[in-house]
This record gives sequence, C-alpha cells and structure tokens, in this order.
Amino acid sequence: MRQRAAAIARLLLGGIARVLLIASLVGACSFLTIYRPVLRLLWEAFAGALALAGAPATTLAPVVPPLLRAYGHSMLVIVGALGLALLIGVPAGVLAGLRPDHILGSTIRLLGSAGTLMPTFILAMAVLVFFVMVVLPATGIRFVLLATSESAVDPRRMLPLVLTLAARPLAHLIAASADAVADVWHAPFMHVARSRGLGPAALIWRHALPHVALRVVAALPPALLFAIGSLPIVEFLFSWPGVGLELLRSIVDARTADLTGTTLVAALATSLAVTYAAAAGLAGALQRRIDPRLAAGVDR
Amino acid sequence: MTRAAHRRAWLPLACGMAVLLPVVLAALWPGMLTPTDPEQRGPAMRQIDGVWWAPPYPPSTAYWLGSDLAGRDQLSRLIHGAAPTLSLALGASALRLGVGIALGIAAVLLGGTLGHAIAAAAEASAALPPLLFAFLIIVTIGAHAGPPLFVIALGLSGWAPWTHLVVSVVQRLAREPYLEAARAIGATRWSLARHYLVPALAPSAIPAAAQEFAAVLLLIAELGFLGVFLGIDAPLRLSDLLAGDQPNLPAPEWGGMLAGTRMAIFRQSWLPLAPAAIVLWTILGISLVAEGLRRRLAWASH
Repeated sequence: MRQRAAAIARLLLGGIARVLLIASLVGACSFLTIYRPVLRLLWEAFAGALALAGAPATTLAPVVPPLLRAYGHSMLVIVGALGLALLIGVPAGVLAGLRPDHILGSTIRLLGSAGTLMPTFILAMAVLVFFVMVVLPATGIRFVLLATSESAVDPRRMLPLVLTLAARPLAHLIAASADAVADVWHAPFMHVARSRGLGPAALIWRHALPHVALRVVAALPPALLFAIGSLPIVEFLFSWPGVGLELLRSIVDARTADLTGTTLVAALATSLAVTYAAAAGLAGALQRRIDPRLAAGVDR
Repeated sequence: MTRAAHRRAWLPLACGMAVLLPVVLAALWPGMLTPTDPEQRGPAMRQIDGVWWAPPYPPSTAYWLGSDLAGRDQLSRLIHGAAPTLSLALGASALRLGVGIALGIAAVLLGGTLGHAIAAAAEASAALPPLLFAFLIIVTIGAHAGPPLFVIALGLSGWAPWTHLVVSVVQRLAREPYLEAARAIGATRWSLARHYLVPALAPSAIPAAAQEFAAVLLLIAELGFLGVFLGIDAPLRLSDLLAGDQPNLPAPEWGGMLAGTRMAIFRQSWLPLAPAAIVLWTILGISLVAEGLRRRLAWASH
C-alpha cells in the first residue's frame, strides 16, 4: 500500500516537474523573443556569419594589409622578448637549479617569482618612466614615442617593449629550467654517471641539459602566451602599432563599423590564436624529436 | 615532517593574511578607515608647502595619497573602492572556477566526441588573452550594463586551466587501484566524487583558486587602465586615453582610478601610482596566501 502511494506520489511529482519545465521554457522563450529579442539577435549573428562566409574576397581584401602590418610589428617584439627570455632565463634557471641553497640561486628564484607576480602595466610604466626620464637625457635617443603616430615604427623603439614583454616569459623559463635541473640532478642515472667519474661540467652538458631542453621547449608555448597576454597593454602604453593596439582600436571602432571593421577584429584575434596554436604544435613536435620516448608513446 | 617544515608551511600564509588584513578591513568597513568622504571635492586652489595648487593635489598632510582631478581624496577613494573591486573579482573568479570545473567534469563523464569538443574549446579559449576577450565583450555590449556584464566577461575567459586540472586529476585517479576497489563494492558516482575526487582536487585547486582571484584583480586593473571600468558613463575613445585624459569617475573603483593615467605618470605620478600600488599589494598578499595554502595542504597530506 505504502509502495503504491509512493509510486503515485513520484508519478505526480514527475508530471508536475515536466509541466513546470515546459511552461518555463515556453515562457522564457516568449519573454526573450518579445521583451529582449535574444533569439532575433542570435539569428542575426548566425546570418552575419553566413554573410561573412559568402562574402567575396574583394570585401575582405582591405583587412589584409593592416593585419599583416600589425602582425609583423607584434612578431618583431614578441620574438625579441622570447629570445631575450631564453638567453637569460635558461642559464639563470640552470644556475638556480644547481645551487638551490646558495644566495645566488635563491635570488634568481625570488626574481623569477617576482617577475611572474608583477602586473604588466606597472612594469611597463616603470620601463616607460626609466626610458623617458633617464635614458633619453643620457643618450638623446627617443626610445619611447608618447604620441600616437602612423610613422611610429623604428627599430630603436623595440627595446623598451622587448624588455617589458620579456619579464613574464623570463620568470616562467627560469622556473622551468631550475625545476628541470633540480629534478634531474639527484636522479639515479646521475649517481651512476658520477660514480663512473664524470665531472660536473660533463654531467651538466651530457645529462642535465637534454632534460632542461625538453622542459624549456615544453615551457615555450606558455611563455609565448604570457607575452601575447601582455601585448595589448604594452602596445597601448608604448603606442606600438601591433596587433594588440590595433585590436583595441578596432574593437572600439567596431561598434559602428561595417563588415570590414568587424572582420578586422576577427582577423586580428585569430592571428594571435593561430600563432599560439602553431607554436604549441611546433613545441610538441620538437619535444618528440628531442625525446624519442615521447614519439613512441612510452610513459616516462 | 619537522617543526621547521611546519613553520615554513605557516609563514607565507601568516604573512599573506597580515598583508591582506587592511584590504579586507577596507572592503568590509570602509567608513572605519576613511579619513574623509570619498566624494567630497576639495577647494579650487589649495596651498601645499607654500605653493598654490589646483586639483589634482599632490600628496601632503591633507591628502596622504594626493587627490584626483576633481580634488577628491585618493586614499578615501581607494578604501571605498575596495569593496566593489574585490566583489567583482570574487564573482568573476567564482564563475571561472564554476565553468572550468563543470566543463572538466562534463568532459570526463561524457568522454568521446563531446569530451574532445570540450577539450578543443578549452584550447581555443586559452589561445585568446583574457584581457582582449573581456575588452571585446564589455566594449561591444557597453560598460553601462554594470557588474553582471563585467562578471560574465571576466569569468568566461581563463576557465581552461580548471578544465585541464579536473580532467588530469580524474584521469590520474582512474588509474588508482583503490578507486577500482571502491567501484567494485558498489560506490556511486556521487560517493566517488565526494570521497576521492574532491580530496584529490583540493590540494591543487585551493591555492590555484587564490591565484585565480589575483589574476582577475589584475585584469580589472588592466581593463581600467584601458578605460573600461565599472560605472563608465561615456562611450570609450582610446584616443582620449592615449592622449592622457582621465575620464569622469562616478564611483570609487580601483580599475577606474587607473583610467587615463598613461601620461599622468610624468606630471601627477600619484594618480596611477596609488591604485597600482594597492593592486600590487593585494596581489602580493593573495600570492602569499596561495603559497601558504599550498605548503599547508602539502604538509597536511604527509
């Protein structure tokens, strides 16, 4: 009897829940269609995407020159920043990993952590002030252009941008290479190598560095992402006409822009995403090349 | 673990909490700490150290951190700006966590094509800088839409690491023999999640959640620096901000206080430095708390 009553109650509750669900769905759809035309907006977005897909190449052609120009400017500073980060970060990280308890190792680690924590806009402002107030009076060279201008691209102006953009990738690479050395330094195969009479230099060169290389390659896509993430604010601050600044401008203009303006926003954003995806793919391929176990799918 | 290791585990947590204490007090009881009304405008001219100044006034005994362009006390505005700024950061980071963890669980439970689709969406989301995503959403819809829009724009980017974290933890757990044993004696999914997934996720998730809060706070400051902040009352024009005009700030908020201060760094350095310093101070405190929590949880798990 009780079981039957429970079954009836379950049936009733289920029925009520179903009716409530249908009612709320229909009500919400009607409300959103009339009061706030969400469905119409969704349809317009879908129709807009279709129009973009079917648009002739001539409509999209105006987007290509500004995209290529901005992309080239940004890649100049990003490649410079990553190069600088690699050049300083890997040796510094190896040193910190080899001497974890030494004052030098601790200082490098601390600087690495500070670099990861430091907000880009604060660092960028500090670099800006340093170049305008100290470097300009000392050298007479205008490394920073405060006003916006189309003729703003000058190789000398890359320096403050590269320094600012390199900070977070540098911190990331220091941490990655220090961790790699610390992990490998006390591994069993290193003890075997030591017992066979290999000196510290040979140990580092032959055994530690291949492991560090693997970790550094794996750390490069996140380091690139750090640089790309800082790009809009750094380009805005230093008036550098790259993808970051162009994107900010195009987004602000796109509120009233036509198909070309909107396409420019999409193309600029896509260029950043494609750069990251390509770098991640390349890094993966390089990792498999360095470590054949990865290519063979062996669990290390 | 030794007593020294225990102390090392607690030290960053205690330091972080000490750093965050004034910020939390400012957010909870701003009236208790504020020297003056944040909306009170100063006189048209004021004599400071024998020199007559028009607003913005430099730091002095009357205005410890200087004043803004309307002659309002920066310190009072920073104190009153703590609550809206931190609430916004809290809401957005909660949304990031919710979206990331829910999608991670969905990817694991659904598996197959849907699981791969979620992983691909996470990859795509990670490829676009959160700053650009939030800027795009807020500028396109209009900052006047208020806090919900900011929470959505800041929360719908940056969730990908959480999805990856959940997926990796579940995949690691799935290989454990004790989980197989629990399944064999009839443990339900809910019970598995409660007794195994949550304890396995907590040591990495709790410090990461604190870091997420710091990341969102930084994003709010960067958006403000680009002229996108809570309570914005005019359409955004980047040319104005590049030229160095500070917009009219209706309500105190840390991001908004940074708007248009690009050029002010040379003339009135207190305008960007005061809000930038409080953002940096808070991020430092949160990072110390995150590191302390990480060490504490690692210590507890031993």
